[in-house]
Amino acid sequence: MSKSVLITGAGTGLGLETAVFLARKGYNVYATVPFREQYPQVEERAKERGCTLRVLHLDVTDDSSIRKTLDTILDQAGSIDVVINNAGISLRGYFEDCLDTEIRQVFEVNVFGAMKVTRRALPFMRRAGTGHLIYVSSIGGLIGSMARTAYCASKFAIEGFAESLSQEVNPFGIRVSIVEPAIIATERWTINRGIARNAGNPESPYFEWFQKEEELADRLVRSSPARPIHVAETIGDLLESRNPPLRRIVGTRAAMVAHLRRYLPGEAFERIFFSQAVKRVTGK
Amino acid sequence: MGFGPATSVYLAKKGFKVYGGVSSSKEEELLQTTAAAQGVEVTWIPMNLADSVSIGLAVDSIVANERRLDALVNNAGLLLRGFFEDLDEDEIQNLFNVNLFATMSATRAVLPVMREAGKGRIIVISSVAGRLGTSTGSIYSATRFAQEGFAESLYQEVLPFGIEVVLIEPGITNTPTWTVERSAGRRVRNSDSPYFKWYLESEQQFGKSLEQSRIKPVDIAQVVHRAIVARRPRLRYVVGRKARFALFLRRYLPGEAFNRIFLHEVSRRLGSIDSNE
Repeated sequence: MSKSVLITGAGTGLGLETAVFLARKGYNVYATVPFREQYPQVEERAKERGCTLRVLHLDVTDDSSIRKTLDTILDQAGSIDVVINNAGISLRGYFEDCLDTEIRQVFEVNVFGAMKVTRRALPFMRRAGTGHLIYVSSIGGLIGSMARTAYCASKFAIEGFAESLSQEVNPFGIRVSIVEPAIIATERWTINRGIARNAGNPESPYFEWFQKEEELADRLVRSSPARPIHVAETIGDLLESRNPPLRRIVGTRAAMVAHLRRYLPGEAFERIFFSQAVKRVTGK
Repeated sequence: MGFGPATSVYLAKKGFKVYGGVSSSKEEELLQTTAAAQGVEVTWIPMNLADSVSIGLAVDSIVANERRLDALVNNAGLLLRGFFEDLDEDEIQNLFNVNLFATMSATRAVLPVMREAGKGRIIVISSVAGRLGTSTGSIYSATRFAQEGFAESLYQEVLPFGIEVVLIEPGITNTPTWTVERSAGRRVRNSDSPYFKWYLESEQQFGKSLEQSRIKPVDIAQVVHRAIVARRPRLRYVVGRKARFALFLRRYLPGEAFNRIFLHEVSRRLGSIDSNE
């Protein structure tokens, strides 16, 4: 019997691509979305790719929504073999331009939401003696970036959480993996990229730098060969692996940068990379 | 985490005018007695760490008084131990409030005056657990990792203003305030938990590590001082030889060797103790 897969935030971008990819590979996929208006776009993509999956509603910030959806999956599939914690939002803006409420909302979805889903899924996986929990982090969960304090903080948080969790649940036969995509252009990059409300305020001391930073980010994304399908493929690999690594970076350039960071001695990387980043944006 | 009084007093002895944020009269008392014992004065200021408005007001009052603020030391922190499933949501939220959001609120409050002055140091006291996640530390590590991501990003935002952000990562430190009891989640000793026996083992380990720790609060205080006065501070300072060694191994052992060894070791230890299932 094929493994059941729950993906959160499967309405767009990496989540949608991964849902369809895994469905095509024969997994029993439950693509969940935070808004019911997203059902048609998921169903359409599945149809285009010639695969079947089930679309359900799941709001990761709402525990009752999580429980309801997991119950539905258990009823239909009999098990919850894989949970891909992909739902996540971004917040772009210099820290002082971000509202406390905006920052907390990032954590509500990216961190507490993933934790809530994890909490509800674990008992089933423990009793089954098997399971795979995947957390979609980001290169921003390994290296901090300007105008991304909340986003990076939230992704770093997931890294620490998942790393610890992997040791806690391993004895139950449950595997934990963290996927760290490079910055990849998805629909949300153009439609709803999560710009902080005050980031566009010309009175902000950071205004010009933010404009420049966004311009550079756009250029970087456009020149990056990484695509959502690469993330989907990586997740596919992790699921098939008997002894999956804890972390997988998706994107050659991102992986290279992460490697440099790790192996260059002392703080050489930070001194060069961060000061370069600052210089590119501020000219200082 | 128990470094507050030691750090406040150390900096005061070095000639700084120190304002120590305290959230209870007990804390205020501890700060005053520690300062008096060392023959220095530290001004205490009330601060509710779970309330960003309270933090903002406290900082504003300091700035109004001094017209400057040369350094902010984000020292407030709580420990929370327990297997993830045994920790409650309110405990998790509280930990994030104290370990992360309080840092953000205090930082937000000091940035304008530091920008105005064209200089400043923002010290963020994280932990070795902000670089390495371990069993029973999932939430604690989540908050400390988050501080790291925040600080690293912020560093790049405020450097052009002459403001430097510094992370300090202590290993396990034996402080008088952090007992084994105080840091455990409320449900962790519930014998119904599937993790119960493993938790007991981990608590024993933790107690031992606390006892064996060679790091004292004054060691952190010294590093904080260095971070404040150094002309070109590092972005990170790790405090404690064991902590430094663990991070060194983790960094330079190829691939995931460190994690695999670690995981194997943890699994082996836990495996030799049957779970409750």
